[in-house]
Amino acid sequence: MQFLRGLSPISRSGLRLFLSRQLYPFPVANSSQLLGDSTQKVFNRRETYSWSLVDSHGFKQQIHHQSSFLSEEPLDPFSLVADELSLVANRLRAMLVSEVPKLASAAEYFFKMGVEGKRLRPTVLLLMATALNVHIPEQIVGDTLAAELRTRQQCIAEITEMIHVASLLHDDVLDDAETRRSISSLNFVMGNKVAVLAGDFLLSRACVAVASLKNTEVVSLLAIAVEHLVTGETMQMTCTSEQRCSMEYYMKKTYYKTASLISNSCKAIALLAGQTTEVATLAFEYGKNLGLAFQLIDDVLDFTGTFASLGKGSLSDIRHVIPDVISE
Amino acid sequence: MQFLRCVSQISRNGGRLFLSRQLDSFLIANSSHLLGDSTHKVFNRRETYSWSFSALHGFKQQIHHQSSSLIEEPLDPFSLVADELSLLANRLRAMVVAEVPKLASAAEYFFKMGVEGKRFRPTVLLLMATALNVHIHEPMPNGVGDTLGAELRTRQQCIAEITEMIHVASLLHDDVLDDADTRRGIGSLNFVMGNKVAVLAGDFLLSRACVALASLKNTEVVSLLATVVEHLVTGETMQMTSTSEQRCSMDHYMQKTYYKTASLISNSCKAIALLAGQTTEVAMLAFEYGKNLGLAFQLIDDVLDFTGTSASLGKGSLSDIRHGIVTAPILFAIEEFPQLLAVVQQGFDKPENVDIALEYLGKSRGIQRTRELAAKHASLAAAAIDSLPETDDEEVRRSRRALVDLTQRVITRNK
Repeated sequence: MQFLRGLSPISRSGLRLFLSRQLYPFPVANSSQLLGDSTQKVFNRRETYSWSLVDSHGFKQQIHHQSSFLSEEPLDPFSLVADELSLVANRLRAMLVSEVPKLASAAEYFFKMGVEGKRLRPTVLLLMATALNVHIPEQIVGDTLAAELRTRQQCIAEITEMIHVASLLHDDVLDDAETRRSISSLNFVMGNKVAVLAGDFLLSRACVAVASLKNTEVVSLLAIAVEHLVTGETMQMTCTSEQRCSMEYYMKKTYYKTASLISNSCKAIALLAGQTTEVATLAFEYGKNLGLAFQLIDDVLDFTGTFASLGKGSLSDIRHVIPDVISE
Repeated sequence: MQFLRCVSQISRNGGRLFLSRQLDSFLIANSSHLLGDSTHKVFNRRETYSWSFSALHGFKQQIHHQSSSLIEEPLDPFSLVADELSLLANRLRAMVVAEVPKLASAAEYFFKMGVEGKRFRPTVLLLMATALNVHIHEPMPNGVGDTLGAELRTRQQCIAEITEMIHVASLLHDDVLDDADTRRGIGSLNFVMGNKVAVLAGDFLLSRACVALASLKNTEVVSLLATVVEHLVTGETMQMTSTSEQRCSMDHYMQKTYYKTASLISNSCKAIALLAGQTTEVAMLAFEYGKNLGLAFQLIDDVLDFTGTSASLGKGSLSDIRHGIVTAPILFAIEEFPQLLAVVQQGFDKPENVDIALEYLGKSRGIQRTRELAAKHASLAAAAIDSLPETDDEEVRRSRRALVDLTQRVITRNK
């Protein structure tokens, strides 16, 4: 184990816990002292954070890393990119214009102010773009080129959101869901037909946008992500009872349904930045593991969370298990 | 008018009529004698072929063209590419393999032997690929030329496969949206396996199409075909959400028809041209061919929905009007009988309205004018092919003749 992973404590009211990133022997002692026995428990149940952490609900999360010799300012990843996110959101809404009014309003249903969700994916991608902003010596990357690159990477964020929402729209049709993101689902409001069409529309707009980047490897990555989304959903719908009880099957399905989109779009960000295969793979690994972690906690919260915080009924996963199974 | 269009003769029992292509005045005199007054009527109503034709039924069709100096063999566009089509079908079935068995069987539902449909689109695209096989670069040593030629062909075949996947994906979703029970003579996928699997299978085919598109490493082509998907969706939504005013508008109808039917063929023809490294002008000609062919195809489809039989279409006849879909024949009829407008705007939930509309349609020239419009588009399509750069290559010329022939088949078919 080369270094201790930074933990992200979650606090609503600003209680902070400083943990150190292991770069030198000294801080390790510090952090293991702080972590104590809770290290293990952190990954199991949110409630056993034994030091004074308040349960997190809501959008803002505070993450603190302490490098070896300086204390950095408290860091809010979401506010780092907040302005850029607004820009991305506006461009996204502009991309969903259609000559058919009903289609336009259906497509932008989940992009309206207030219902864009946590916007975790675009946040990750924008941060990744900056994180990979390493000047490759041979290239003299002037301001214009840098701005162009940034726009292209923002485009990946837009595309990813479109793909994600398209899959949500179809999933809600498939699940007969009535609510999503604390409002009525699109299929509930406008019918299944419009929801299916709107999903297709978003997918096609995503394809057009991806094509405009003129990078076929990126096209490939995002096409595979779409395929994985579909495969994952089908795995969930059509598994045998034996598969349903297999952790391997579950992790694979989880990768397809949740992590693949983030991992492949992180990789796309790296490729657009002209990074090496190694770096691109690292970006991929970050996205993949983040996505898996996200889903695992999502699963936990489905048991432990509340209706108000998640915008969907708790215990919805397990309540859907039986009807979803198509007996083999 | 540079030359007389070859009229393709369609006969089941082999009665043939030879027509000539105008290359010198001798032939003109000769052929106008043969055609007489029937030239106009050919494009209006199948039934007025006054010389010995039998009505067309069935897949195989015989076409005869006569050039100035030699009598060419009968040309069947479909058999020109039959072997290649089998190859494509196999590759397509391999491409929709999925690790989830249910998804795999859903995805390949319409690619199984016997239910692939008319495979009209792949036929057009393969013929177009050959028709555009004009050597535009310096002649290369045979070995190199062959390999590159084969590579190009494979890529163009890929366009045909992708186009079929997109087409079937849209059929799967449309059947879900329409609650259709049958398609291509068998139970629809949503009927057999449920809406959920049908929606997923459609998504799966779309994503496979995207992956295949990406593998061609040509982003303009990706763009073209992504636009097609967008058009398919827009066309379907236009149909679903139109106001009663729009539904009675010919402009709205033609726009919707372009999106729903012609865009796929036109843009994939253009993609074929781009892969072949053709100029923008040639690519546009390919696009125009596909667009006009597609429009002609749909217009005749609309006619057949009134005049055809349920056995031949694989769906009930009058299905458009019963679903409240107003097509060209009715739109033309409204121009002649404004009283029909009120009936149409009332909708067709009441069966009596269907009968009333049919009565007006019968009295009007709606069917004839639709056929005329289809013929006009077929003509435009043929003209596009004739405007392609000259070539001496016999194979290329044969494919171009086949493409022109298709424009005739499209408007003279009865299923």
